[in-house]
Amino acid sequence: MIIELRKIAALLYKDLLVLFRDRAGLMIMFFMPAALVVAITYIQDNTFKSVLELDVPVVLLNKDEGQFGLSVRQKIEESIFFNVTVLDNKSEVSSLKDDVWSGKYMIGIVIPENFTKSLSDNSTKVISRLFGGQSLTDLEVLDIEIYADPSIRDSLVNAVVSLLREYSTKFQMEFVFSRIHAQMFNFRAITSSMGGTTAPNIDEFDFVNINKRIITKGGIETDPPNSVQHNVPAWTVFAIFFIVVSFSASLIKERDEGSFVRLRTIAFPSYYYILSKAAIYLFVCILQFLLILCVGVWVFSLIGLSSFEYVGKLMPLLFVVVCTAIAAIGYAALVGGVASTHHQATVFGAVSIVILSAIGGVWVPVFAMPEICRIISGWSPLNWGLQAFYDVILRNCNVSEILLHCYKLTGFGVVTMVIGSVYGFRKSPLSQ
Amino acid sequence: MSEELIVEIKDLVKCYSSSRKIAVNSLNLNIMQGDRFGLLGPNGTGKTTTIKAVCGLIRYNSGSIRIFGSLVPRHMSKVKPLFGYVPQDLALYPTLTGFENLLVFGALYGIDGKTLKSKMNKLLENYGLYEHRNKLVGHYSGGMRRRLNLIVGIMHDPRFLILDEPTTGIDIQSKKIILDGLLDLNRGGTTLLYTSHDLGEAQQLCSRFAVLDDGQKIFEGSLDDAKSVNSLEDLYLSLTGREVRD
Ligand SMILES: Nc1ncnc2c1ncn2[C@@H]1O[C@H](COP(=O)(O)OP(=O)(O)O)[C@@H](O)[C@H]1O
Ligand SMILES: [Mg+2]
Repeated sequence: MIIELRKIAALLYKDLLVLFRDRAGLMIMFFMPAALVVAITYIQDNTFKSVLELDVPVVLLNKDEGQFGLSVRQKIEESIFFNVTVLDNKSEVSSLKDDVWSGKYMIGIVIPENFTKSLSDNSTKVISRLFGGQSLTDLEVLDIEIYADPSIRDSLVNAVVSLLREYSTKFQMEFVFSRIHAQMFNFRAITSSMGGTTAPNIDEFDFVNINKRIITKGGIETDPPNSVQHNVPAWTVFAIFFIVVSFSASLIKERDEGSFVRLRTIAFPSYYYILSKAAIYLFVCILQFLLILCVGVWVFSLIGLSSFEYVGKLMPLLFVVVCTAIAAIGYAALVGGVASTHHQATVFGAVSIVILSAIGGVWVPVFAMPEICRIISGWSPLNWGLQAFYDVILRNCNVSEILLHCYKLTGFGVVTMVIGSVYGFRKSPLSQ
Repeated sequence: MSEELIVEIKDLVKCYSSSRKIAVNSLNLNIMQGDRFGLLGPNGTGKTTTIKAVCGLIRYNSGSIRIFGSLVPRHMSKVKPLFGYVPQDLALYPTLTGFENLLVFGALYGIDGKTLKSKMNKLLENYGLYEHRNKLVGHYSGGMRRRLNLIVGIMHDPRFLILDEPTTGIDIQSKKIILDGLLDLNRGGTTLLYTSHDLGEAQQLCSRFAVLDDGQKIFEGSLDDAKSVNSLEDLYLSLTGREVRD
């Protein structure tokens, strides 16, 4: 027993030393993702919208039977950014919220009953009070509700908000001016009633509230998350998977250097070999996560970005990190086992991770992808990892609610690790 | 007294599927306790292939190999603790120091901490590596690496030591240290199986030898048999011909 432990310790010691003397590999694993998360967040924070953010699934519940609802509906349907589903106007708001929560739609808009009529009524009141010299402050405020999925960029939700704002203002103005037109002959009354004071700016009498609500677990609504909350998980997943380059290279180097052959003539169970490496890289993944977390919390605030919020979620986050790391390690074992040369493993490992991360929604959100990519996205382990992170960070899910993603990640990791190891063991003696 | 049979190779055939090359063809060999057995022959005649099959590193097509009576590779786990292997390619971690390499392999052999320390120091001393123990193996000279490669193969005191070209490409001094060390081990009871294409060296070291050509054994005997001819080199050339090999 002690001897077995000593053997395992020897392998761990060896793998740790080999890893920490590989400076280039360490740079790739730690510095690169940290730099990426800062750079990408900074860029996204400063520029609105990538060209790729098209075809956002939007659901509209238009209870208004007047002109306003119709116009909004037309405008959204024309827009190239949105893919609109219009619900029957008898539908419930709660079912719309459920659809947004389940991820079926990214944005849900609810225009209340008789909205056009209320706008019109309000305008009448505005005019009569203006002409009567009364205050506008006690006017009825009209609400439009927008529900958004937390994983959507705030900029897109804001596009919907400004569209609604534009139309509500337009309608208000039209109503107001038509009333003014009707009262033309009373014109003198207006000027005298204002009695030399500055004329109130009609734009300020905005009595339509457009409420943005982010749907999280159990339909609870929160403030919209900023791009930091999206980017920290995205680049953590990316960094974790990027260990594939270093891990597979270390497998192949050991095979090429002949030490793997020697290990095979020494009496210890062969799975110790891969599990030792797996343990060391699991540790690396946790360090990577902690590093990106520190960058998200401290460095971001130094450069004027809002900092990453994770309070009370550290344990579920670590759980997700471990599951994601298992998937990444398995994939690395597969790449290392199948590739014949160091070069092959590095290039294939790096390129495949970039592709899988793109498909998985690390660079561009999944909903913004073309149909075909959206379907294959669900096959990317990076997508499972990212979804699990978003569930914890943005939707306030606890561990039991993200188990499906975690099962997929660990299952993928175990299967690929077994296949990769079998391949590697078969390959090693013949490669010399 | 009856000599113990250490290795018994019967009708060994190995054909690499990737190159369709019959690397070893119907080879029969017996190695006895206390032998210093040399497996000689030009490049590409199947010496390394034979060694790898004996070490359980490759599967063979037909025939059988027994070490200490156990069938290889089926009962490899029984055999593993009993033999040491010094591969032709250096099998060391270049980014670890000499000391760290020995520590890792020693612990994997299951040697306990105190014994391991004293054994490491003694071996490093004997093979002239003690003052270089804290240098990275990647910075070692060729001769130093060969010596360390040997130390790793013998640190668990195997009864049977398999060496594949242990002196290829190194200086006379390193070669002498290694050969003296091997003779020393043999006096202590370790059986040696060793390959080389350096006949002068083989003549110094071996008590018995076999010559392979193109995967087949074309001669087997003791040094006395070789002496009846002028030298091992003459015998060898008369056996293998004078044309260049791949
Ligand atoms: N992994 C391999 N795949 C295919 N052919 C191989 C492999 N290893 C060796 N060979 C071939 O088998 C023959 C014997 O090789 P080897 O045993 O290495 O010879 P030696 O050690 O005597 O120089 C050579 O012709 C070599 O090309
Ligand atoms: Mg050879």
